[in-house]
Amino acid sequence: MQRYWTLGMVMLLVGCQRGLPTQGGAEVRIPGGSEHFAVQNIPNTLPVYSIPPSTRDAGTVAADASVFGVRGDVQEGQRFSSVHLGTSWFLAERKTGAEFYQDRDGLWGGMASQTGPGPDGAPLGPIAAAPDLAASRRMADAFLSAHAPTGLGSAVFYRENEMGESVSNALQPGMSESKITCREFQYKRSIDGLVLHGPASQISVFVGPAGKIVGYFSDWPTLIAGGAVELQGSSAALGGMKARIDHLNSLLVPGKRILSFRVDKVALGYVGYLNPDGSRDVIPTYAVLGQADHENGPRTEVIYLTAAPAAPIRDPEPPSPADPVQPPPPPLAR
Amino acid sequence: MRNDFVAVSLALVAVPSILWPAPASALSISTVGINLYSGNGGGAPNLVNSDADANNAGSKASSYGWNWAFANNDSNAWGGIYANSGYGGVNTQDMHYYSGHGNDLGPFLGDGASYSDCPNGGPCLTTVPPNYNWSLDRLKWIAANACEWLYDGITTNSPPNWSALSPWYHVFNPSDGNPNGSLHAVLAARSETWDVTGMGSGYMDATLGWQGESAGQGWFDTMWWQMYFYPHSPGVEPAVLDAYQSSTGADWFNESLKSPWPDPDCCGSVEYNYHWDWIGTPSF
Repeated sequence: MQRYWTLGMVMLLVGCQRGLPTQGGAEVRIPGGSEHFAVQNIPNTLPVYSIPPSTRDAGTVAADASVFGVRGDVQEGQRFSSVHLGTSWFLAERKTGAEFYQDRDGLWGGMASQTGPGPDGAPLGPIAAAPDLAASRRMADAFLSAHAPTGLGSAVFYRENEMGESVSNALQPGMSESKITCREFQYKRSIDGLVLHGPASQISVFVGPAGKIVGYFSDWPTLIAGGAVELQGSSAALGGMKARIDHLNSLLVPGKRILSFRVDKVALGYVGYLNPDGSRDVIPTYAVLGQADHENGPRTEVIYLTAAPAAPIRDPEPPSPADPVQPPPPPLAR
Repeated sequence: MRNDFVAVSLALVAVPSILWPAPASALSISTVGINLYSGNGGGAPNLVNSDADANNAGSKASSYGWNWAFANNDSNAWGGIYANSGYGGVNTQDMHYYSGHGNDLGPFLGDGASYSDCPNGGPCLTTVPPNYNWSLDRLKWIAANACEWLYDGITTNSPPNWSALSPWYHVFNPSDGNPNGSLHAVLAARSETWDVTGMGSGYMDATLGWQGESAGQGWFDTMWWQMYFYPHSPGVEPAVLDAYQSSTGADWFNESLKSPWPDPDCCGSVEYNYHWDWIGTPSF
């Protein structure tokens, strides 16, 4: 699950040139066969959804920013509408309507703007830490309950991430100081029990020192139902697994290609795609969780397969400076 | 590890520790950005945003009153900017900002002719830490939006392998005898980073602008924002290798870019701190 996000971006990774893929393409292992992973009780059809580009106005941005205590004039930039107050700011992406909030002073326990006095003075005090996992989760859930997203679907807990800051001194290499300064709780959109992956389906609540909400991200636009598309069974979809991985490999540079993939779990869900004009499409998919043996090591990963032949799985859009929210840009590794 | 102890316990020439005067003139920055690796021998995929990222860094620093001394992009970025033994390249400015591919040896400028380490039959200036003499003059901070400059073989949220990092001590070493300067910090990443346009400019806002963060904290917070929060990458691990003085507890991670501290060789023995910030699920 830690690698869930990589299913949409596996082909965007650029990596070290450590080897070449095996002849004949990737090996796919389905323990027990496709029928063993058959998804039961699937409907005959599911709707597809569309999401138009955002039309959020400055008044809405100001109102949403005020939820976090960020009050001020709305600055209209090329890509974002923004409101700044002190060391906090709130951004709304103009194209998609996705919202970002960050409070750096809260994140560092009131020390964001502190700098040390230099060699002649005393060092800074210790960095503040976030509450423990259980307490932080309660705070995030409570915040989400108080600011429940509207529209189709419900927010379901997805995973927790940590931001841990540490320091080690060369003279004492075996010792280090570490603090979890912030915990992120991610929620995804569930539509009638089917999880929507990718764009249009994430809320993150960042809990910092003293339980303060120090960050927030929401990509939760209104979904417009389109026509229904007929589903194929998961066994039939798994028949296309090898071709899908080979296709992904054709887009990856040597060094990070998938040599083999072992299927662990198959689930029906939705996946979203961002279009260049800022509109988005949401289509049914079979999300296949498994162990991917890449040329640079094993990973738990998800591969999307087509669930409705009339709405086939796409490749992730290439990164563009104009589309900063999704998909992620490629890493800079050699 | 004992070798590390010897290597990092450099007893530098001490000078009286007095109040450090504010810089008499504007601080300065140089930048390098590389988008195009194909057609020049390659060695790495092309990037989309590095040129813009580097230029945005220089432009933003200028907006805060710094002097943007030089900017090299693509075809005129070569190893001599980093791997020199004289007073050219990165040493002549207070900060250098690099955006492009990287690895645990530093900037990766490409394998091709235009980015060659040995252009026009000249001396080979390979970009590896032993060739980085970054404490010769004015350079205080070198910042890299690039993968894995400070990668030490550790892929978990764990203390560093100091032996693997030890080649980087050289960049702080003012053993040339020149008392005029020594590096304060390398601001980089332990993990892979992401191709974004706003890392450098965001860092200037964080440290020189209204946020007023310290050199190190601003780097961490900007990378959190630019490479995790904002583009929704799986994760990233910014890292800072900086000067530290145990006798006073001074950690150059905490200095202000608005009013820099004295160079680390000002006032006693210099050691090194490695700060890292584990965010999400970084990739390596």
